[in-house]
Amino acid sequence: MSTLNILYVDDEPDIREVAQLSLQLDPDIACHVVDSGTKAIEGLREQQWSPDLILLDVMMPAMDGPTTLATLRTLPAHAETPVVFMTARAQGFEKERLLGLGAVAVIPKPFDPMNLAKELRAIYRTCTAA
Amino acid sequence: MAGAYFYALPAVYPSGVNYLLLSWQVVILSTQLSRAFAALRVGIARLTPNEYLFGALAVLTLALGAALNWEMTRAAIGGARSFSVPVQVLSVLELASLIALLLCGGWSWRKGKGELSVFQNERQQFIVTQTASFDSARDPILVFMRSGYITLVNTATEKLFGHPREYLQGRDASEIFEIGPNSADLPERFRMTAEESRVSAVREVWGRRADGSRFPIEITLRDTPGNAGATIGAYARDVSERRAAQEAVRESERQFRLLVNGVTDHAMFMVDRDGIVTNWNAGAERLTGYSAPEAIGRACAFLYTDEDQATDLPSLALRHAIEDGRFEAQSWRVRKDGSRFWADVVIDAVYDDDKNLIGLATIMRDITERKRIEQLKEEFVSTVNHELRTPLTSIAGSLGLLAGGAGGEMPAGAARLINIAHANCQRLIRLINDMLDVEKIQSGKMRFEMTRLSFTDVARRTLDTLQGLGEQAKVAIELTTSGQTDIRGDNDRLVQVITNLVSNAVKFSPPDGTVRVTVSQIDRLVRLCVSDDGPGIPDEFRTRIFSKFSQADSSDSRQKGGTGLGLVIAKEIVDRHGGRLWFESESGKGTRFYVDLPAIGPAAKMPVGARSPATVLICEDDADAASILSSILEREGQTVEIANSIAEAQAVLAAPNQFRVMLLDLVLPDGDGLVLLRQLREQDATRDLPVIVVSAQAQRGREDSTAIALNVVDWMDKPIDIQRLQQAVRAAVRGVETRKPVILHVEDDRDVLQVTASVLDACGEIVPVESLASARAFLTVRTPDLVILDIGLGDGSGLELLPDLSACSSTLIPVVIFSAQDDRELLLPQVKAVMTKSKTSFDQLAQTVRRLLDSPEDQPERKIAV
Repeated sequence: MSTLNILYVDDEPDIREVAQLSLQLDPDIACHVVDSGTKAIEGLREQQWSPDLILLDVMMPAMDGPTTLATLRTLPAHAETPVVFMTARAQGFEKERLLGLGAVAVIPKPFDPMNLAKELRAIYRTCTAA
Repeated sequence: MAGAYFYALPAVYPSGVNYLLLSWQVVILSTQLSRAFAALRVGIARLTPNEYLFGALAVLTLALGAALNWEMTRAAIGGARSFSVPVQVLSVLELASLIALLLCGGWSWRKGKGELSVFQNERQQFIVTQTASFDSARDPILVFMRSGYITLVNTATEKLFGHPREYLQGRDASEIFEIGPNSADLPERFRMTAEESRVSAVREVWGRRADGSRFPIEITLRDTPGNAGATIGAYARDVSERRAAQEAVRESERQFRLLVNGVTDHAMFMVDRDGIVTNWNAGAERLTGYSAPEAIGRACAFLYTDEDQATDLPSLALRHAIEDGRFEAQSWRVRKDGSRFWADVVIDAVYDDDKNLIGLATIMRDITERKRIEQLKEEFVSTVNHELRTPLTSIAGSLGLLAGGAGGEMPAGAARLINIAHANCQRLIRLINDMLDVEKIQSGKMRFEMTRLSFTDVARRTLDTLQGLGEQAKVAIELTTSGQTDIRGDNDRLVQVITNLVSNAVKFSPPDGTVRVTVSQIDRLVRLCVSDDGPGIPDEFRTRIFSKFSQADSSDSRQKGGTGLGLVIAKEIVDRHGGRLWFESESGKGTRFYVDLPAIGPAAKMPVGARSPATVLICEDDADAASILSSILEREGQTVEIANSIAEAQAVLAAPNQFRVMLLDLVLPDGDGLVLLRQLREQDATRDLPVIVVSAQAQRGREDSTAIALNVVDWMDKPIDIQRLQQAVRAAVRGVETRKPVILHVEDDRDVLQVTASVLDACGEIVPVESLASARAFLTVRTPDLVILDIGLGDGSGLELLPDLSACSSTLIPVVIFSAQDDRELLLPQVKAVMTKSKTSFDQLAQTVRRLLDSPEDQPERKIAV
């Protein structure tokens, strides 16, 4: 299995850690973690990483998930990088709203830690195959 | 008394005393002497023999040309008083003419002409008013001197005031009328102008009866003809009832005004069709800060925000209200001080009895506070949701990793503890999810995305995800499906329902038990059944099972990990799909939960030949109209066949078919749809086929007097109201399967028919007819289950229908008499209840009808009155 590079952005340190541990269950996932949208955009602009998929928290101080996504799309290198939102408000219309912003999937929090990696792989497969 | 002067005449006519007295009175009263008599309150109606003699003597004296001094002694109030009456003698010529006139008058009266006879001499006019009709007149009539002194009354006047005429005649009007200060002149007192006295003046005054009671009285005053204004005739009418009615109207208006004005938290005002404010209540004043004079006469746009005015919302709202009868909205409005409030606005078009638009009534409430609270609540729920989930995400994630072995091998004791923590963490997450769902249901925010689904597929996919749960509990989950199970529904929500029912069944199943899930079509329903071998639902818990946080006992929730909300949510979801969630359970023998959802027909048309029989026949020659109708009906799950003409329809109907309903256009290339319909009603095979008329000429058919016998489900104009068509088709299809009781309502008042129909809507199919003839026409084709009968109909008594009812059915059709007549004597066997309109509420009528439909053999109920 090829290595899947993921950039994960979340302001909650505990959740960051748990999610990171969950993703490490898949040895072929390489995960970079940052704690704010601003840092993510900076790093991407400076080409510190080149993720295949970006996992974004929605509610973050300063720059929230949707803003991060919008800014990301202005970077030529990431105009089409698949983005997955992970949010505690994943119900009904909120989910539709997020998908409407151009995300490929929305994963509700709390997430299933034993399956997070599998889920992201499946999402990535689906959106790259299409 | 000096100068008092009168004519005297001993008139001896067959009518005798009465006439005589009158001529006396009139003669006397036509002189200035009347004032003296009035002052003394002399009851001149009762003349003593002395006075007859006086009269005779007077004539003699007159004839002799001699002067006369006559002393009269009369009983006067306060004791006997005597006074002398000087008599001035007329010339013989004058006297002769007077006698001739009186004789003449007497003669004409005797001939029974009953007319007012006028006598006149050269000096003065006066009347001899005795007529045949005067005394027998129904209305009280009084004759006054202009001074206010009553000279003459009739029998009706005696009755009205309770005084004998002997008492009344000769009294001042102020004795029996309250006409203000005792001024000299009666016309003055009644404020009668010279102009009015020539025609007639109507006054409302208070009368006083003999017993001292007061009552309102209307008097019509008029100068008695030919009398040069000396006397005034007055027709009096007791207007107590009219006054009471006016008072009642005034009082109810007053109360209504007080009500409207007293409502201070609702602004209520009217505008005309151009939006100009025509009235303004205190609530409107309080709410907006504009006083009534400031608001009235202005265009109501001043209440709208600038943005709304820019988009022309004020006139759009009015147009909407005029077109649809009502406009409702919640939006910002502006106060006088410029501040804004969030308003709940309802604008109703108001029409008079002739359907002319009178204006638009607006009711406006300030719900800024409510909106704020709602927002707070939403924010709170949303925050709680997020704030709880954030720590839970870390906890659940950590525990999940540990329980899943990601943290490496753990000692058995620790693993057990981790599993407990993990399971309870999962339960907490479910609880939060369920609570949010319940909140959404309660606030009406749960939205459904309805699509065409195979319920079998939904169940199969859901059960796949639940296999793990079954394996954990060592419970097998089996799925059996049969038939076509297409429904319309929200996939995710139905998955939620099935998950809930199956996981409940798994929880309550004994180890090695089996949960059986079946999906099948039963008639027009798709049914999912989840059955288990568990202990069953305890009797005492059955009524509470769909309430929030209800679990058979509190230990269950801990043992079984439920939230106590699952069934509440499941039931709500099923309800919102137009379905039913119900259960059967026997203690110790397991439980079966059922989800019944309305089935819809197969999606694609099957190839010709293998095609399922059509359920709807559309008889319509316009290809576009036919295709619109069929697409609407196919969405309803119907299969459609189209006939382009009457001949085609006849051919199609003659062959074996399974039509549940027929849509009929009235204008067809080969004739009138109504003719076809009449033929169909005469044939056994199509007598009961539900027909919906869809035609630009529906109105013509509806108004045809014989149309009632054609049993048309609905008459629909083009363009088609899709919803109404769907409803009618559904009603027709249902009607074939489960017959609703037919209630014939015979009543000539359309309003009563309409209200009754709406009240009884749920009881059955209401057939309103307005005449006996229409009722009879109906009975020739259908037999009602119950008849509501008005008695006073345009073409006869409702009771005349009873023999027709007996003739059309071997069993007794129960009849409810609902009439304005309070007739308790209707002891006919089929009459089950007699209800008087004024004393019965429509709810009571509905109750009685329901009871009779349930058990028509009930003992007759003679009278139901409030």
